[in-house]
Amino acid sequence: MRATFLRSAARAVALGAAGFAASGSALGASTVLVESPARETIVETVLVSREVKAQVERLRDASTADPATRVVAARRLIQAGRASADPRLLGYAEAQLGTADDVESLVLRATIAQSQHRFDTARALLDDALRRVPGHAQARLTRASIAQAQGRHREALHDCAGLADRAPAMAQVCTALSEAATGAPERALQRLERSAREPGVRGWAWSVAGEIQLQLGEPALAARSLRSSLAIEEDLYTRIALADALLAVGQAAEAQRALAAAPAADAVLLRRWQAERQLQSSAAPFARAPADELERQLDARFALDATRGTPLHAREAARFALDRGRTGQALQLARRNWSSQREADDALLLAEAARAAGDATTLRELQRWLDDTGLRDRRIDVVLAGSAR
Amino acid sequence: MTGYWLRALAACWLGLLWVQPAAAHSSSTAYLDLAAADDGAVRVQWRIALRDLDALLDLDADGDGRLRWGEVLDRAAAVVTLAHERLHLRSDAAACRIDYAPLRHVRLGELGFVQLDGQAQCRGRVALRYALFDGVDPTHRVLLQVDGGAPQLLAPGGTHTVGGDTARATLWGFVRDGVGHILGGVDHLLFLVALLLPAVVTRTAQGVVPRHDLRAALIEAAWIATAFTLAHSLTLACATFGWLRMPAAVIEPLVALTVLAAALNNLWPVVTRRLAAVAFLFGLVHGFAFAEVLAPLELPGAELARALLGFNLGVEAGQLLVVAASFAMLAWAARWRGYTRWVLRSGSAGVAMLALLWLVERVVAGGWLAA
Repeated sequence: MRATFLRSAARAVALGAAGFAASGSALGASTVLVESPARETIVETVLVSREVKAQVERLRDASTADPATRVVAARRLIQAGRASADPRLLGYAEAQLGTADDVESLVLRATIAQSQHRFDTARALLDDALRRVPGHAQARLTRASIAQAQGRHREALHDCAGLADRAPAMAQVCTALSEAATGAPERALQRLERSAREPGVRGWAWSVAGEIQLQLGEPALAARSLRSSLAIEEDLYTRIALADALLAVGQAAEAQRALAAAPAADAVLLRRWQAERQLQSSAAPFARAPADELERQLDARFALDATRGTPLHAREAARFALDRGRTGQALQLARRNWSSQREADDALLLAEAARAAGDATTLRELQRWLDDTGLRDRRIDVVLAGSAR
Repeated sequence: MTGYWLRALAACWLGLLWVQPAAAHSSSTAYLDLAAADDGAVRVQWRIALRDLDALLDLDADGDGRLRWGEVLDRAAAVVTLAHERLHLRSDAAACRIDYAPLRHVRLGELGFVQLDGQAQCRGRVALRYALFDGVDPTHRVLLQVDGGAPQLLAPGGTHTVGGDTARATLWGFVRDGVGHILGGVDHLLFLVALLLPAVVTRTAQGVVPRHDLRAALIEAAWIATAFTLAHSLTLACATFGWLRMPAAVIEPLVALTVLAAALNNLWPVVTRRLAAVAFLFGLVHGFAFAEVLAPLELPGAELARALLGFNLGVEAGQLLVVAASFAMLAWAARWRGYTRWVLRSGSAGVAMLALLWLVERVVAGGWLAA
């Protein structure tokens, strides 16, 4: 009863999103309707806040705000960009900072570059900042994060250890992340258990724990940890991980519910689409419309990204292609993603894509990489075992 | 020490430290289509996302987070001003202003766009400068499509040359310009006609009689046209490449003077032989006048050579047309007994009067009288 209610509620939400896309009607069609609508017609609903507009106005005026004001403005724009998953705000923040090279600006510029997957730029900026202020905790943590995202855990652990004096709780979570990626997930979980009691990093610790549990093939436990994290603080990344955990245990309706209020980021749309498909295959396929609309929407977005040459969403794009059975495209995207990101999720994606495409060479390379780093991931094991047979 | 700790904590609270996959809505993208017509008109179709326009201009007047078309229309002037500020087309000569039609709405995928349809008059190669979001969002891109070709990306502050790859089109454009210039330039044509009028007749002791040897007449006409061509090509090239320039205020009355002289020479012959030499001498003056079309374009070297070639070819083609037609008519008319009186003399008198009129007009316009 409850499940049915939830499912229909979730579907209503998804339908709402789909309806929004459907009104576009141009999606996929070769002709677009150019018109002069009535004055009362609502033509856009996703707008930036007044505060952001004020910042843009200041940028247009090219007024000479002092560096400190610009840093504050950039920080707020980055924060708003993260919350709304709107990459334009990162662009505005980037413009605020320009080429300012005080330490705070360097760190924020690196944060922006990192979000835009310009990892080399980000690292260079952080190296510069840390040369000047070796004890800059945020710079060190951001540099560790980049190293972790790229699978360079020796460097990451060095930076995590560098945090121990000034931010011991953070140093613990940071270390746990690299431990989990180098064959010691259990030790990482123990470490996080202690961190989960530390003010300031509690939410983060639960979120990382959830991810590690996913990696260990414990999605139900992971979902619980991720919910604990979200109860402490809202975070889109954690929410997406929660949706993954719920989808892994077949709770598509719950996954939809978890994402109901999330901004329509590519990663969110992808999970909504996966959830719709799961619901359709479990129940009678009476309405394919929501999944189809989401599919068209994602298709259009990834096509635009490809045209724009932004490799930002290769991970989502590869997963999307894989789930639709476009194995060649999926492998290509997974490889491109692998060239910039090497987290457990990326390794899993590459394994699945290579297996689907029957690419034994890639699978061997991946196995060698797993042996070298010591990464243990139950999900990857299943894929590799399946392909070995 | 605690400063960093607190800052790090604050940053963590802000969510700055979390490694997130770039989970993003689409980045800011606009679409710009350019289509160049044969007559130099450039059609512009520019689509800018409403959410981007709102971020720049705060279109959402009632601040309810939803944009109504009426709210967009109320700020249409600001949108068009922004368009003028942020998209520049420069023709080889100067900026070509884009005139925009009223705003229209179009939906592309999940986003609403404003469609700006514009029209500009440009000549030859068009240099485009795109500056939407310049200094505001370095991640903004425009997908530029020229004449339905492959789309290309431009970042804010980016430039693109339209027609750079259509050297041939440019050449033909200038050929057309050349033809147009000679056919529309009555003074040049009348000068030629004035020289041709006596070519079909011959002066004997008995007076002026039609030439029986049409072939010789044709050869003389050809010499006249060729000499004129050589001369004006020479000065056109010199002036176009900037080696030798003459102010229009001097050249324009001089052109009128050559026409007057050619006409008067038919009435009271001073030079009766070697008309080709006269054509050459006076042709030098006409070349400077032709150069007034090309010189202001300030084309770069190779482009200029191409333009010069095209323009000259055009002038010659137009001229040849006129010479052939005039010669045929004059040769036929010369058999008439009244030719000398009614065509040669009256025609030349008419041309002379017209030339005199031009001379006065141009001297006045050039400020010669005031000086």
